[in-house]
Amino acid sequence: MRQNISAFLAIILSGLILTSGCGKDSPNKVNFDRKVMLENYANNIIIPTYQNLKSKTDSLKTAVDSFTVNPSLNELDVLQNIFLNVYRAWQLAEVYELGPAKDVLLRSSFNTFPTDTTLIGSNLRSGSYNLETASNFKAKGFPALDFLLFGLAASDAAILDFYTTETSAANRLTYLTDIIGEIKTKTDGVLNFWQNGYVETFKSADGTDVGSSTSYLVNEFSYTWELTKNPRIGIPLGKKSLEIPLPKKTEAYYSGISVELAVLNLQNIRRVFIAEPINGTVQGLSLKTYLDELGAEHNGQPLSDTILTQFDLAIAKTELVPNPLSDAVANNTTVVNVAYIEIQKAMVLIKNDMPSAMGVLITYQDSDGD
Amino acid sequence: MKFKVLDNREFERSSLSDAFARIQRGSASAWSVCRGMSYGRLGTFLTEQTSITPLVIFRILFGAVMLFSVIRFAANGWIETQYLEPTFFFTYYGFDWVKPFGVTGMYLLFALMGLSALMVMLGCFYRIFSVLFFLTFTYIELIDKTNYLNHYYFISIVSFLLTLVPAHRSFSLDVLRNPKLELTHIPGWMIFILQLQLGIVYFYAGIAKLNYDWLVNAQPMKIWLPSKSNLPVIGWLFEYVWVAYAFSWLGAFYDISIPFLLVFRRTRGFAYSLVIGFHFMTGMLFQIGMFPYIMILLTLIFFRAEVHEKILNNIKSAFKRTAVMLSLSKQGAGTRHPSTPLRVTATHGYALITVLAIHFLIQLLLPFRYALYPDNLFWTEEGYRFSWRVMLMEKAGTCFFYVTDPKTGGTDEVSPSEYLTKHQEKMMSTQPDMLLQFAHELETIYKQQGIENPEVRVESYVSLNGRGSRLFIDPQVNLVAQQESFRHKDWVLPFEESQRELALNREEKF
Repeated sequence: MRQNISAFLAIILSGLILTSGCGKDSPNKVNFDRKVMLENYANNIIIPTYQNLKSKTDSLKTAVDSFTVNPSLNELDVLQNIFLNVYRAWQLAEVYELGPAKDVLLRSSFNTFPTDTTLIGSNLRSGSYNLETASNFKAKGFPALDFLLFGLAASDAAILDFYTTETSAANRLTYLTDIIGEIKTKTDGVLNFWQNGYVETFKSADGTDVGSSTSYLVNEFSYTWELTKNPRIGIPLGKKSLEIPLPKKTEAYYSGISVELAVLNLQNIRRVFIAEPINGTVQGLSLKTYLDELGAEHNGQPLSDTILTQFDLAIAKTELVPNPLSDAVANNTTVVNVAYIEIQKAMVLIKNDMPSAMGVLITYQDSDGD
Repeated sequence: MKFKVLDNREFERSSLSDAFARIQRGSASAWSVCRGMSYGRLGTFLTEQTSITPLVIFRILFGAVMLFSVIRFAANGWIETQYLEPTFFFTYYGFDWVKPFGVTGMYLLFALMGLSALMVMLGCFYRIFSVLFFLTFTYIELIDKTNYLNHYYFISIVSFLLTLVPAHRSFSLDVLRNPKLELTHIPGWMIFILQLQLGIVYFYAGIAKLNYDWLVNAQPMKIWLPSKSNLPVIGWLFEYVWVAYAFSWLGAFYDISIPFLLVFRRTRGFAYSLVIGFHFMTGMLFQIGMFPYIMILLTLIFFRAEVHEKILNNIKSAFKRTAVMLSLSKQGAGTRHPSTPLRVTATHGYALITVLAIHFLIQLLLPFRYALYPDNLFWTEEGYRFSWRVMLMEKAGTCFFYVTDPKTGGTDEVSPSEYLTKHQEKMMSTQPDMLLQFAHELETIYKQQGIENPEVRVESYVSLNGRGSRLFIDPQVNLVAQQESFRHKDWVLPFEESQRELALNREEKF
C-alpha cells in the first residue's frame, strides 16, 4: 500500500512541477482583500452618498414646511429646485439597495414610476392613506413629488392655486408634506444604520456566495444599470410595446429632467466601479482593481478597460439625447436608440463577464449546483 | 414498470446459476456473452453467494440520506421556488407530458417520496416503496431541466438499481413481518452492480476532466478558488495560482483512480480516506448540497462484508433498548445459519440480465455521444448532460429576446425575467435547447395576445471559462422556425477560431 501511495504522489508532484514551473509570465498570486475593498466602499463611498442625500432631504423638509406656512410663488420655486436636487442626489444612492436600504425597500418606496396620478388624487381627497402599503408605492416618492410640484397645471401660478384656493388644497399640502416626511425618515434611518454598526456587518460578509456583500454589490451594480436601460429609456422608447413610444412612462415626466437623471445614474455607476467618492478622488480597492488583480480579460484586453470604454461611450451617447426624453422617444428615436444600444452593450459586460470573472453568484436563489 | 422485482415464491424454484445455465443452453447467439460469463471467473464472481449485509447497509444509508434530503429540500422552501413559483417549465425532449401538479399535488408528491425513502430505509414493503421512490424522484427531476444536477441523475439510477435487488431481506421490517423472507447470502452481482455504477461515475467524471481548459489553464478552478479566499484556516492558499493547478490535477487523478483504489483490498483504506477528504473539501468550497455526504456513505459498498457487519452491530447496539430493535437484532449476519440460496426463475434471470446489460451499455456509451456532434462540447452543450461532467466550467450568459410582429414590423424586447425565475434564466442563458424552448413559449404567449405569426430572435452572449462574453446564437435566425431534435443546432454560432487563437497565445506564456 505504501508503494502505491508514493507512486501516486510522485505522479501528482511531477504534474505540478511541470505546470507551475512554466507559469513565469502569468501572475502567481491574487493579492486582493475583499474586506478592505468593502470597507473602502462603506466608509468612503456609500456613507458620504447617503450623507449627501440626507442633507438634501433635510432642506426639502425645511422648504415644504415654509411653503406650508407661506404658500407663495417664491416658496414654490424654492421647493421645486430643492426637490430636483434631491432627485439628482437619489441617482447616486439608488445603487446601494442592500442591507438597511433593502430592508425598507428604499428603491421601490422612493422611485416607482410612472406615478399613479389618479391614486394620488383619491388618496389626498379621502385623507386616509397608509403610505407604507405596497399598493401606494406608485403614489409616493419622487415621481409623486414630480407630479405634485410640476404636473398639476401648466404654469407655476396655476400649480400654486392647487395648494391655496382649489378644492382639497389643504389635503394636498398635507399629502405633499407626508410624502416628503417619509422620504426624510427613511433616508435618516438608512444612514443611521450605516453609521452605527452596519459597516462591520457589511465588511465581514466578505465571501462571494449568495448573501455576501460582494455578491450584493455586484448584483445591484448591474441591476441599477439595467434600470436605466429598461424603465428609464427602453420602456418609454417602446421596447416592450412593439416600438410604440410611451412618453408618459419616463422618469421625471413632469419636470422633464429625465435625460439628466439617466446620465447622472450612469455616471455614478462608473464612479462606483472605480470607487470614486462623490466629492473626491479615486482611492483604495474597487471592483475595477479587483478585476485587474484577477487578470480578467475580454477579447485579449483587460476586462476593466473594456468596461470603462463602454461606460464612457454609453454616457456620451446618452448625453446626446435632447431634453425632455418624453419628446425624444417619439420624435428623435434614432438618437435615443443609439444610446440604448450602447447601454445594452455595457450591460453584458457587467452582468455577465464581471461576476463570472469574480466567481460571484449572480442569482439570489439559493440552490445546489453540481 | 415491466420488470418485476424478484418475488419470494419464485425465488424458490431455481437458483440464479441455474438460470445462467439455461441461458447458456439456449441457442440464441445473443447470449454468448452470458455463456462465457457462466463458465469464466467473472461468472463465478457474479453468482457466488456472498453476505447480504453490505446491501442491507447500503439500503439503510441510502434511505436515510434520501429522507434527510427530501426534508432539507422542503425546509429550504425549494418545492415552492423550483416547482410552484415558475409559470413555465423546461421539459426534457420526449417528456413533455411530465408536468408539475400544483400546490397540494407537489407537496403530496414530495411527501410520498419522503415516505418511500423512509420505507426503503426500514425495509418495510420494500418492493413497493423502492419502486415508488424511483418513480417519484425521477418524475420530479423530469419536470424542469433547469434543475438538472449530475447527482440527481445519480440518485435516480441508484434507486433504479435498488428496485432490482432484495435489499430488504435481512434486518428489515419485512423480515420481521415474515421471517421466512430472511436471507443471509445473495449472489455477488447484486453488490457488484452498485460498485460498478459508482465506479463509472467516478471514472467518467475523471476522464471528462482531461481537457485543455482543466489541465492547462486550470479553469474554472483559477476563477473559483480565489473567490473562496475568505475561508478560515486554508483560505489564504486559494490566492495562489499553483493551488488552482494542484486542485485541477489532483481532482482528475482522484476521479480516475479512485474506483481502482477502492476495488483492491490493499489500497481500500487509503482510498476511502481520500474519498472523505475529497468530498469534505468540495463540500466546503462549492454549493453542492448533500452530494458529498451521499458519496461518502454509498462508497462504503466497496468494503468487505466483515466491515458492514461491524456497522450493523453498531447500529444494533445504538438502538438496542427499543422494542423493535430487540426483535430486529435477532436478524442479520452471524445470528443464523446460512439460508438456502436465493432462487430465481429462468424468465426472471433473462429479464434481469437483459435489463442490466442494457443499463450498463447505456452508462458506458452515453457519455461519449458528444463525439457525434461538431464543435466544442462546452460551448454547444450537445451531449453534455447525463455524462458525469461535474463542475467543469464557469459559464455565464445574458440574453435579450426579440419578438417581431411581421405585419407591422414592430419588435418587442423581452427580458426572460418577465417570465422565468432567476434560476431558470441563469440556466437557460447558456444552453441552446432551453433558449429554443423559451422562444417557442414566447411564440405561444404572443399568439395569445393576438399576434398571428410572431418571429422570435435572441441576442445572447456567453462567457466560458473566463474568455469574455461572445455572441452565442445567430441573432438573425427566427427560432420559431426551428424545432428541437437530436441533430446539431446549426444556429448556435461556432466556438470561434479567435477563441482558439486566444488560447494558443496564452499557451505560449507557459
